[in-house]
Amino acid sequence: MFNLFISCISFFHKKFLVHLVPRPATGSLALDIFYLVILLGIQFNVIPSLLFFHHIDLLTIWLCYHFIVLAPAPALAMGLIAALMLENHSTVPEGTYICIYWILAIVLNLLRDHLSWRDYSPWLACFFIAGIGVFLFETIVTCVKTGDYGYFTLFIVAQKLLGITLSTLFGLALVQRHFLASGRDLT
Amino acid sequence: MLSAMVSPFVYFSSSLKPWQATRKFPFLLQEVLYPFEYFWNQSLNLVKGSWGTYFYLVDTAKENVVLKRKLALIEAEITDYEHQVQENSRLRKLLGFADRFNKSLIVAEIVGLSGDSPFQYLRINRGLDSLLKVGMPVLVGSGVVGRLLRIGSTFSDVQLIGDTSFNLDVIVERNRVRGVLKGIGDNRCRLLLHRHADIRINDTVVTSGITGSFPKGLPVGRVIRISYESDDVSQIITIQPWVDNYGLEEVILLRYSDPAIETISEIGGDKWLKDAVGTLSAQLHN
Repeated sequence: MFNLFISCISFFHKKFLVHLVPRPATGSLALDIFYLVILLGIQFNVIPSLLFFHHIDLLTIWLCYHFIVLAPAPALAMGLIAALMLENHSTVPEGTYICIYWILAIVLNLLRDHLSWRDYSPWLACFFIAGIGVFLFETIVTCVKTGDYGYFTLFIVAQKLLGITLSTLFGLALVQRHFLASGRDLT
Repeated sequence: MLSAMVSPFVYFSSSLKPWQATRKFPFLLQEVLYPFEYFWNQSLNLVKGSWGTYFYLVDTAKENVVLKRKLALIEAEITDYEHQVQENSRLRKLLGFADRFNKSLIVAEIVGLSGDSPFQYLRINRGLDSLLKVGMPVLVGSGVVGRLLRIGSTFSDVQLIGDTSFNLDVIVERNRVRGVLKGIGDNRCRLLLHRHADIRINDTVVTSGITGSFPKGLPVGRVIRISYESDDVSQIITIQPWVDNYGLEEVILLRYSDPAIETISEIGGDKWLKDAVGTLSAQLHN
């Protein structure tokens, strides 16, 4: 009976659950958008309930991977859709994430042919700087809205840096599994 | 390259406001995300509920005795209040006061929360199917939570009082000094008043009911810090809201209608009212 139960769980996992684990740059835009939605759900619901309401920015790392690996047109489309989803899931001013992801996409697209992506260090630098860039942009927007810098205490900055570090580690794991180990190349 | 990087700033909203419910396409993607959020939230509540109800019962018996005693005291107080309400109603009729507003309450469950950034909001499980309107006040028993920002088909987003885009007209309960409360992130708000306004630590702040959709007298928060601007003209009051966002499971939406706004809307129509407000805002900015 127990073996039957285990085999049912295993069948269900192989047939359905494994396809629900988000994979980047699948080659199909519809599937990429579907995985983007799942990642957003994980970022805004699963992680905050595990980490006492603090969230880690997985989406920026996910998009950086797409901006580097994919051709410009599908990467920009992904970036726009992700930015619209983030902005409608938050109370940030309209256009905040559209701006920052547009800049990120342009810069990475220009840089990608000049770096060797077969090593970890460019990925590490890219993810960390992207995370810092998004944080600084949000800071500027917040300071313009509130008119002062009082919100940004040492605790808040330390919290954000820890979040960026964790998301960078997530990015490195993503790169190891889906890019370096698989031997795929840039499109 | 520089022009490509600068071009999106043209689109960047100069009024720095969040997305409103009128933009249909971008919000449509949230309709796909909402079932995942709801499923996760319900699963979590089931686990928490099972643990609290069937396993973690250590202090339940003691709490039961204390609560029974409190209940008996409250029942006695309620009887007294009922007499006072009836007396108040009779006095108002005598003096010719009409009912200031009609209100009905809608209870909603919280499905998601983002509270650790300057952009704070809640997601609730009520949408267009519950006849909600953008701008409706959102409260709990202890005070104001925020305002309805966006409405989907079965869910809505609530802008919290600590969000940096949130503004509310308030008065200090003790001396009726009026000001505009602004969220500054981290579940804190700020009030900018004249330097000579008499404000003290622990003063209670309530809604003024003069502008906006919030009726008068709803508790907002208390004063926790007073500092002075270098211009020697104004003082900055930091307010701690009464409501702790992290402990919330349900909220109340208030169907409040200001009689004056309703009359204008009936006579001139909603479109005329929106145009008039838009023209007035443009003139004020100029």
